[in-house]
Amino acid sequence: MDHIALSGHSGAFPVTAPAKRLLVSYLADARSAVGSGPDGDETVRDIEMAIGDRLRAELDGGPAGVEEAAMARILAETGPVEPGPDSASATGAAPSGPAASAPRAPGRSLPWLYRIDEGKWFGGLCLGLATRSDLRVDWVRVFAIVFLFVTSGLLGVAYLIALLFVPRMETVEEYRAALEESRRGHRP
Amino acid sequence: MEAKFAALRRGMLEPVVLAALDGESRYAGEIAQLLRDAEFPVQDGTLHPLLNRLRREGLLTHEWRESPSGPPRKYLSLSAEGRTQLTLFRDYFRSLATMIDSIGH
Repeated sequence: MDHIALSGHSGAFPVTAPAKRLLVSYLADARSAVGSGPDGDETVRDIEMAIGDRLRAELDGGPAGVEEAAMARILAETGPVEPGPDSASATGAAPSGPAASAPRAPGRSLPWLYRIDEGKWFGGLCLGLATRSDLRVDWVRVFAIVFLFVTSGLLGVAYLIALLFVPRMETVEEYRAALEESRRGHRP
Repeated sequence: MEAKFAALRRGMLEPVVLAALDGESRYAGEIAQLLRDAEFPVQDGTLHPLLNRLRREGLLTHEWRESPSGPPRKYLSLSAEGRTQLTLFRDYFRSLATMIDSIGH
């Protein structure tokens, strides 16, 4: 069973691997439909939250994880993301494909790690690390706290030093989109 | 015929969303439910981009409130500007409705 974290929802949702693929590709489409910028980020966050509510309802119904068929139904009910008639910048970018609308040049490599502001506990390092390596953020945090004690505080010092060097990003989705894009860019 | 009705509804979505917030603040899920109940269904993929555009245009304001289940919710309400536009939409719609009945008579 795979997991996926969604904006606003604590913890991650158990989903099967094909269901996760569906959701990730839906969210990538949504992102390219709304275009870049804070407004688009907000819309994608809101939609992630709405999907999360539906996944929660689905999981409350009994299954241990969201199956592909259920995910397909939920995404069909959510419907394709339409930027609407007035957002000229987004409609212009939509047909040209996700990479073309991206602000970052394709192939340009990302710094090794970002810390994330929205949903952070302290500096957002664990959240960044979890997003980067596709791990659950609660596990990363538990591991970090355990390690803090094991190293009798040394990790804390390392954390503080890292705060000075690691750049920041606003949201998990933004980081995920940037990662996705840089992976795409590195491929021939 | 349903396709033609759907085309009409598309143009009405913005006024209807503003009307759904008349005198009451609601979060997106409530708005969607209200519209479904009124047989004016709208999908989340359409509703959320619209709500954000209206917010950017200053017609809606928002406020985060805790929810009994799940994450905090963004409650939207009409700004003064939004209320004005809703009134204008309603007046215009009434004039259109009278026009379609009276034109040609």
